[in-house]
Amino acid sequence: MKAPTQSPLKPRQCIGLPAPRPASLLLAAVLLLSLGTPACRFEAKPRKRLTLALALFPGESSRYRRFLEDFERDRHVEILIVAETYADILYTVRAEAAAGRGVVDVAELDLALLGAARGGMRRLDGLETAQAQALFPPAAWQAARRRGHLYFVPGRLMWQAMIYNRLEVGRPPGTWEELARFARAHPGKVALKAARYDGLVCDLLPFLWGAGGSLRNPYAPGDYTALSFLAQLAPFLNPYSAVFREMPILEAQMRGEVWIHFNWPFAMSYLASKGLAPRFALSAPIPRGPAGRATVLGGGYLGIPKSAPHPRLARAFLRYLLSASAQRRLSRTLGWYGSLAPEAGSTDAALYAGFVAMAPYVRARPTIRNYLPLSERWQDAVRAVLFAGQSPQAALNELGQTTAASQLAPAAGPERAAEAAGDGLPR
Amino acid sequence: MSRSAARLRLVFTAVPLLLMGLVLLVPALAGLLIPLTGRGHAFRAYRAVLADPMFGAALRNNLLIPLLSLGIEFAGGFALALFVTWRRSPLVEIAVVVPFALPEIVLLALARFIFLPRGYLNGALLAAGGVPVDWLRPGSWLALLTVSVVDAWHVTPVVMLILAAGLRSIPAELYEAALLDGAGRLSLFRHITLPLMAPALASALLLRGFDAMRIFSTVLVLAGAEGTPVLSTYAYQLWSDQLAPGRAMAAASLLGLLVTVLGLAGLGLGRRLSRQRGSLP
Amino acid sequence: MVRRVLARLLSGSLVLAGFGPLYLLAKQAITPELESFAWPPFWLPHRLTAAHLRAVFALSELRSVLARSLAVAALSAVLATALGAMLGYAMARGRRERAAGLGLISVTRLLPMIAVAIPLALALIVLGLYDTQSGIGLALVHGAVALPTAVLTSFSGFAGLPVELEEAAWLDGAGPLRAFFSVVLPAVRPFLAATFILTFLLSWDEFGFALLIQVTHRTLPPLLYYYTVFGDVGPASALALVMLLPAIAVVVMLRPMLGQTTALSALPGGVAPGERRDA
Repeated sequence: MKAPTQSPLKPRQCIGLPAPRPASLLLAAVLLLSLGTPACRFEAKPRKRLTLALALFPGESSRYRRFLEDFERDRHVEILIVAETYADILYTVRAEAAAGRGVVDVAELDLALLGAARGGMRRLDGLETAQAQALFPPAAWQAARRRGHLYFVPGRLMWQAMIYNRLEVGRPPGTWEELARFARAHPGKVALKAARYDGLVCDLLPFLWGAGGSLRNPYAPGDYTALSFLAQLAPFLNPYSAVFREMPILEAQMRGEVWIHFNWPFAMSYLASKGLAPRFALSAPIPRGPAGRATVLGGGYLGIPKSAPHPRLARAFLRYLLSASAQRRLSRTLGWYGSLAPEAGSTDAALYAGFVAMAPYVRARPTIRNYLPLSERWQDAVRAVLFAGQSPQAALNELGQTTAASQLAPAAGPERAAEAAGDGLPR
Repeated sequence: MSRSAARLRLVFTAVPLLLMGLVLLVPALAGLLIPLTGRGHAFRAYRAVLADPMFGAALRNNLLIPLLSLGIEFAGGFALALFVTWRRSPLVEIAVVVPFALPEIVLLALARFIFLPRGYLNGALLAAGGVPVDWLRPGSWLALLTVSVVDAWHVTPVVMLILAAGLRSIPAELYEAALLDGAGRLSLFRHITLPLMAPALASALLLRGFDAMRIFSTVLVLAGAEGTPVLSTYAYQLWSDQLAPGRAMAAASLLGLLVTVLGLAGLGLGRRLSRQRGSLP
Repeated sequence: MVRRVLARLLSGSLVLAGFGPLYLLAKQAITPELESFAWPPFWLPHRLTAAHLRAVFALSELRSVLARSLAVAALSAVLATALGAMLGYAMARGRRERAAGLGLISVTRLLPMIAVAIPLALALIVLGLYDTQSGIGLALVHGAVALPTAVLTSFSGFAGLPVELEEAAWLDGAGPLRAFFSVVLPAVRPFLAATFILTFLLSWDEFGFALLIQVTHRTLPPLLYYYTVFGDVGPASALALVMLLPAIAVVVMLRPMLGQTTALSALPGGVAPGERRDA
């Protein structure tokens, strides 16, 4: 880790000039700050520094820091968290791999990106101890493996549940029929994350699976059932669904523009931090479809890039993270209940009730190499049905035609089992 | 001596141009060509982009928003310039310049708080007994207009400053002479103000127009990449959401080609027009 | 009488439109977020809190972001001012240089950010300048982006300088380079200062390149973007207030410009010198 380059400027030359006076004074202050601050900040670093690139929201990093204090003290290391989106993390890791040197020691990735990122990651065989294995469902471990080698570990597991406004909704809808009835009675108050990104697929999959459909088979009858149901919801959905992603939809929920949406558990800790939950918002299971309930497994996979400057320390950190005690503390400080459920009767138990109830129905998206293009085709199909008035059948037919055969055929070898487990392919 | 002065000028020209070329021009050209070098069909990335319905929507918006935005900022800028030259009040002058002084992203954050479905504007409407309006409803014409208004909001002060400077440069004797001839207020404006302002107006219009075609952050912050897509946000969406750098570069390069071709043509036209005008007595 | 009332009314609404949004921003920065989410909106603060402003400065990320933003802006402003003075001088003294400079400036001013940024990001990745902690790659990019502005501002300074000034220095035996540094540059100091401030602010405000190139080690504008779209109303407003500080300098600078044309060419979207002569 190198200190930041000192800016080689000589500001006084410019400041002494007869500029407009208040402006130049201000500028002088600003420049002095700029020269002073980085030097004070970065020069004193007696300890090794481990850099984690995590998909955290700004408010979460400080809480994650608190969780890390034990490890930092025991190991005499300093941990730097850089919070960014999963896509940014993937580009960073790729950039560092291309440059042959890097800063990131541990990178967190969403399940959808594992296939694309695997090539740049170190193998983590040996971290999957029996104790660690017991923490997460087998499907979660399977998604992290390829050809008998482990490339990622599930650092935290998240799945989606329904978030609802307890004052306006009362009893949350438990079935598709109830959801449809609620949407009709309250136009604009139900929303989906239907921007053009993989999050749309995460909102789609509980419906697709709930009808017995499959992402990898556009001809499965369940696909039609699910899309028809969404088409039926479409006129009553919040119109901003077309641009909603995780956070904007949550903001709409906070402002009361939306009363029901689907999101990840961090939404609850976010709402709680703003004083909106449990007073105004609670979580509930995703409504049951004709073929049962289902929810989608999300991010939280950690890997060590090949370009990591401190791979051994990073490995030690992952081993620490995979202990039951660390997972328990992580869950408590951040409100992620992937490996452990909150204590019965606690505030968290009330907040995360919907997530805990969905635990038995968690399924993984397929971690095939071509997942991203497949996801994009589905995004376009669902958006066409929701916002362009296309009929579900026409959208599925188009999907079937444009999806290359290679994306539908299960890969050979050990990956096949993982994919079958992940997406319940009916073939 | 003049030889070494020429050598100095050569070095002084070459070094900055080299930096600009390497940092801006070479990447833009590379972005144009890289999508051609992928596997499979040479034009695959370009064809995929052109076949995408969102590209069509983005192209349309990319042409409409600058037109709307230009109309708003020039009408507004002209009105403000007239008002500010007429009524000299320091407070008003500062208030009028504020939107440009704000960092763009601060202005956009503010605009978001104002135009959200439960934002301040709808709150004010409600308080005045009106009905809230969906200012940014994805895909709507109103959202297109809102984006254009916010885009114009930021630059109207600059347009105003340019036009106000132009207004002040018109000699007062011209008006006095025309008034002696018995000209009305409106005909003063039509026959003196407008023609004398035309060159300043035309060049400002051109440059602002091409700036407006590169619109990016206004759409991203305010409407979302899918709400009122333009080519920049479309390319950004491909890069950051679909992780498809090839298609992203193809889309961005198409925008680059569009702006450069239209821009060079426009600049040439503008120069010719101003030369013609200059030759008039 | 009616006209005066109308003018008052118009002045009033202009002042409200200019300062009203700033008031709302300040209000959101010092009230609890629950008040900002209220519907119908609160127009006056009910409860005050310093939590957001404190949070902005307590966040470990923010201080380094602030430092990076300042360093990138300062470095890019120095780069742009120095190179801009070179090219501006050459353009003011040579016809061919002026043609070459104006040509490239026109082309690069037309290029959309996104068309440059994506391939540039890939190039910086290979060079190891992508997303660096110091933001040096971004400073280089901002320097190049601000160069047209810098050239046009300093050009106005050099163009108003009589050639006889250098020629006198040459007669005294100074080489062109020494004459440039000892005679020409000191004469255009105010223009250089204005150039520095303008290019500094260009970088301070720049959003697009920063969003694409500094994905981890951010500068302030992308950070504010993320706060805003993440619904962090309180911290976003507090951060926006911090970002506003240099903007005060712009107002201070722009006010005297009402009425003089020369400095206007430097503004983004301003008039290029070639076009201005007939205005």
